[in-house]
Amino acid sequence: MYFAPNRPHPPLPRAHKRWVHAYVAKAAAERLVCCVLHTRPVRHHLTKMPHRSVPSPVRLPPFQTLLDAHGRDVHRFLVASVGRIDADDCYQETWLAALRAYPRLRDASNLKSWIFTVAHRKAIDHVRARRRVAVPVGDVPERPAGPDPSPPDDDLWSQVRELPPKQRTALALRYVTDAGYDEIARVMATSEDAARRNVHEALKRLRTEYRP
Amino acid sequence: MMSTIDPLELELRRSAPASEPPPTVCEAAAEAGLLDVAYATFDSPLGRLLLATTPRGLVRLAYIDYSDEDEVLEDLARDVSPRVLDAAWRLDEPRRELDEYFAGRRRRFDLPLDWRLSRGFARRVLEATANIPYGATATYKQVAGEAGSPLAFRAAGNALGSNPIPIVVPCHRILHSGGGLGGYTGGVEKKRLLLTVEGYSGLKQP
Repeated sequence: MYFAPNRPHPPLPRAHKRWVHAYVAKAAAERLVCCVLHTRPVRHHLTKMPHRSVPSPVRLPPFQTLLDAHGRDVHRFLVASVGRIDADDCYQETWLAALRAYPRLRDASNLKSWIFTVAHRKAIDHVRARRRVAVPVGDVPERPAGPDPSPPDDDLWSQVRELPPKQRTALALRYVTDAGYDEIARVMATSEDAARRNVHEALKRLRTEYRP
Repeated sequence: MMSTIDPLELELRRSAPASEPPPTVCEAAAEAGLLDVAYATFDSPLGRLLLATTPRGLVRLAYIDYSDEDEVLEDLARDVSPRVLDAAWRLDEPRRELDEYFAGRRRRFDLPLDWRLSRGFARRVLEATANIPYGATATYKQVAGEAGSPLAFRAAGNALGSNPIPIVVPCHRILHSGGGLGGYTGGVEKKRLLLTVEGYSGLKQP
């Protein structure tokens, strides 16, 4: 009940963890007593169980302010990372995932990096899912025949999309949202050096493969 | 190698995706059950109003020419849920009823209300207030009595002053025992106008 099997739990403060352990031990002991004495289990303790949806101790701004402040940049980031066709789906998934986790967030000091972290993960999921269901239908995926014929220099970004996910995200953050290396490091939970290396490797690779 | 202007970097920046309006999120959020507080702002004869609803019902109505919109939203994020989204379509029904009310075509609101922003004595006062019919008035003392403490008329005044859903919970129908207008969060002029809309004739001239 407390640990969802397939989602990593945000780190809890030590005291909280200890309290959970104490609770679990106490509940087990009480269940044992109930079994032996054939008494009714004490239900009211269950209501005191620390639940996954405990409200966050930090002061969170209304979600709409996040959406207003970063919506456009997140969308541009996703267009660069997964392409225009998938960007809208990915965008929705990103914000829904963020909205789901938002009340449990324990650190509101850098919401911008947080939302880009979610977008980065969703982009990875999306590319993986796409590869899994990809059916060979010729060599080039069809462009949408909408009012938006992609410019010819989109080639460069489609090359970027072929890069490993870490390099791709680093490059998209750097050149689409103008993020510094510190910001990239925060979004991808790496050191600043690693962020710099990711960008550098990506550029090196593009230089060998891309000829305008 | 360490040139300041790298043609590749320049090209990456130049061909980066342009900013365009992203798709809306709030419908999908509502479908997934993640829209805890939907809000909208609109103009009324009493100035700009902010309406907020939860799945249970209308939770907040604020005069945002009087109190700051951001502040109202931050309070909602703190007291109800931080999942606050701008979703005007969720508020069509309250908005329509308010429009009818201002036009004099509606005498009572058929809206589900979410009372969670008031509790204890304040809540009892507001619930008593909600029972006062259209066009009628009561005194602070009377509602305090209805709420169970006839002597607590000052506390009743405070409770009415912090009414989270004015107009719909008609705190403007509470007057001084002497017939004076009393106070109103958002300005006494609004109270006078609301009473005039309802055709209340016992008002003293200022």
